Amino acid sequence: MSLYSGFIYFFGILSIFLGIMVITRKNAIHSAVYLIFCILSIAGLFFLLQAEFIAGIQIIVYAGGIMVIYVFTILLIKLEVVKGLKRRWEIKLITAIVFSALSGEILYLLLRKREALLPEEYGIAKGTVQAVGSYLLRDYLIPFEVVSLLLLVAMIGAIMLSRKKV
Amino acid sequence: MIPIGYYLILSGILFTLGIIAFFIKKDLITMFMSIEIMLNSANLAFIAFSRNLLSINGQIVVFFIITLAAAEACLGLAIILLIFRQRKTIRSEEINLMKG
Repeated sequence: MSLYSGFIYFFGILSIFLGIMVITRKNAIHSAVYLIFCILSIAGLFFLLQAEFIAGIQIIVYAGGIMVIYVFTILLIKLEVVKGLKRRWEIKLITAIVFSALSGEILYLLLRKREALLPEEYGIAKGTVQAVGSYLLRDYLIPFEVVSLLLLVAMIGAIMLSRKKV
Repeated sequence: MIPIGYYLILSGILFTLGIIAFFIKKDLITMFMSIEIMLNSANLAFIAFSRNLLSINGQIVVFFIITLAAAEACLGLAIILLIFRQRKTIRSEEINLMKG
């Protein structure tokens, strides 16, 4: 096993562990901190998959921007420690069905569909700022502008929602 | 080299964790965090396919998804703060205004 594969397995197992820690903590601020580290380990996977620009965006926007909004919201809300894992039985049943279906699909892929797991030749997929930027401003120019409009709408909506008098 | 199936399995596991957290959690903020986990698993699948197919279009889609997640977190958390200010609770079972 090469060093590359070792890093891939390390970040993958780390992200699964941190995801489990996110959904099992009772205090929401602990969940938020574990989620930050889960996002950082997924960013490490993006680096190893040669999507360097997206990995940087993941660290800056997700771990640096979105999670700060989460932490501030948790600090603004007086959060009683909610007892988790105590739902009505219908919701428990739905959770069990969804969990068994999804994990059964994963196990089926792992056990039966071995040809999807065969190694293949990798070339070099350039995920640098230059490549992504040229695609973004040449082929995807209109979606780029639409997304900037979406961010403007979200900003105006958040300002409108967070006024004192609504 | 790690084949693509393992990335898809990792993505599926993370998506399953997100769905379970969305169902079993009681406060709205943790449910939003589980949505972030699900978006991240989708991003991982996109990046793995982008690497596998030697195409950069998947990375562009991930860029747009991250922008969408930023807008969603901004608006959703503003709505949660509004609900907390009016109802003094963020537990999802006690927000039953539509129940009549």
